[in-house]
Amino acid sequence: MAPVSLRSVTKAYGAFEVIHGIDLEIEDGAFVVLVGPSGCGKSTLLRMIAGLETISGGEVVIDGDVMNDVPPKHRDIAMVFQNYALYPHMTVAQNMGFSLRLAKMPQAEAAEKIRASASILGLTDLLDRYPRQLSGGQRQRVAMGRAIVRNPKVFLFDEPLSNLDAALRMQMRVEIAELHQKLGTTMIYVTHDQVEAMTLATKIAVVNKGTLEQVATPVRLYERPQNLFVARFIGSPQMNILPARLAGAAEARLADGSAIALRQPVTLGEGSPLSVGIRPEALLLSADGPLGGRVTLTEHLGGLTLIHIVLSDGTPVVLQAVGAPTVAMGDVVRLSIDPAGLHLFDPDGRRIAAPGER
Amino acid sequence: MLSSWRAQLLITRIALYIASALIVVWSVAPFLWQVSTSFQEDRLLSSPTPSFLPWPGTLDHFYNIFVEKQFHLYIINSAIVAGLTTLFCLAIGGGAAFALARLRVYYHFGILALILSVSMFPQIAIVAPLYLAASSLGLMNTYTILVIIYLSLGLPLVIWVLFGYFQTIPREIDEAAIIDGAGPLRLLVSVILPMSLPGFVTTGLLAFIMAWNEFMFALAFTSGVERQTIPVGIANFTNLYYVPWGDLAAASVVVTLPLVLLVLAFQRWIIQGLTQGAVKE
Repeated sequence: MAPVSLRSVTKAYGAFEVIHGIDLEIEDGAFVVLVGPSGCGKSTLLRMIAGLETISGGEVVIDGDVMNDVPPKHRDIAMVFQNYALYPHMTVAQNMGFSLRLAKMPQAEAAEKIRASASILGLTDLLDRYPRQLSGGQRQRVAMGRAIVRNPKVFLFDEPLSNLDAALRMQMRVEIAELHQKLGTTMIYVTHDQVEAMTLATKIAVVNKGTLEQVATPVRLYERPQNLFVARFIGSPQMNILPARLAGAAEARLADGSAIALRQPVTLGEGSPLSVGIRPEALLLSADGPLGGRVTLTEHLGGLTLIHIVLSDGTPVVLQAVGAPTVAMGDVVRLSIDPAGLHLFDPDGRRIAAPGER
Repeated sequence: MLSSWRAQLLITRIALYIASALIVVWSVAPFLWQVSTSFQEDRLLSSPTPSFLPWPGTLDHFYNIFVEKQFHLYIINSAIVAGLTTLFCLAIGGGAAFALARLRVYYHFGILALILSVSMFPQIAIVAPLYLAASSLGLMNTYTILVIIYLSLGLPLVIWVLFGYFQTIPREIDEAAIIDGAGPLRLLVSVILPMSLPGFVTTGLLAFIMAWNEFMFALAFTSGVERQTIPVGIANFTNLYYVPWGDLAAASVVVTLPLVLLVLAFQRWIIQGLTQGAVKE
């Protein structure tokens, strides 16, 4: 168990910089998820913490020690890979015990540790099997077992669930969360799946193009996205973003002239462009709402219904309703907005804070 | 209609069987004839109409080669030379291929091309210089010089095949082992080698067969039964006045047997090794 700090960490391949100075404090025992679109540099960042990539600038600190020049095996970390990376010629027990064998731990002690880790993960009956004889979920569990058997200071996960099918992914997600509660070890987890990020993390770091967009708890990230990128990236379905202009002190006007009342006066200047973000669940069907549109598609998810609507200015939006409201394709509807799910962004994409918001 | 496509299917199938049979006959027939020859009496071998069946059979030729011509000494020489060649080929080639495929080696494709180009020299062109080098180093008529030469002939193939094989092993396996605390040597021995066993078996067999059958260098660099290998030994059977066809055939059968047995024993790995990487698993 240990805190991890990244201090203006950069990574460059020759003259081409891919990570542009990232600062991140990860508290002891935290579960931090690095999330972002593919190619944003999140995996590179994780591999730099692991020691699999060199660090071009800045410092990676684990438990108070600068790790820049320390080889992976002395960093006291364990890593779980997307494709499991199990040793195919070794049994489950040998896979889990490989690091202990290399560390020359006495056999009896190693066997005890393997047994203990296996029972945490429900692998006790599989210890003599080979990876090819296991299902995808079991393999992933072995990969985690290989990590926890060493009792490292930090766990690193590199998209560990991407190779699993949907049902298994959900089950393993729960298991990883339980594992974190049981062990209390610092975990750093990379994914491009914002649902995984939201459900697992104590803290999410949104990475985009080699920089941190925002670091916050899942709920705060959802309720107060600091910029348009985070607003679009976090939440499913995506936040609806409507281009608008400021008309008067506390009113935004869409291209077709419909007006949206704002909760606070905005000091941008009359006629200034701004983006109005509305969470799908904050859009409400109501006969006297300020926005008008036509239903193009409804998706019934059981408890929820997604209604796709094209507003009269041509912007497509998604409305998420509880239950199954009776609207059909082609219906003309009016929409109102729940102010709690309304977000404003200035022309540079930065959040305009609501009153009383820090 | 129905019967016409059935007939077509049948014809296709029969054609396939005939073609396969032809290929088998084409490749196996000379060997079978050799086997038959090795059991025939000299009288039959020199008769105007050749006979395909060894009847009446005789073991005279086998008796001749082992008792009178000390053929087992040649076999021992060949086994030592081919065995050592294979061992060193795999050890050195495995290490080199691993370094080229997995470690940070600059210009590794250039190095690979260089290795390949070395094997393109016509062998006859390097016999004379090697002969001079060997004699001034006092290595004439030793196992050492044969192993050194066969090693240089075999290594390009071994390195190229193993390089390709190592490339197919996911990098994450290396990285997992590195995080588990493995250094390069441990990674090679405990992880990469067991995972590439088919590649090692295939290339090892090819290196063994190459050294086992090589004639020209063995002829040039060895003299006398205490160091000469099988192909040279067989060539020694013939003298100015007489070609002992039966003995030659018997010797050929005897030396082919170990190769056939080796291939059969490792069949499973060889097929895996030769087709591996052709399709995505």
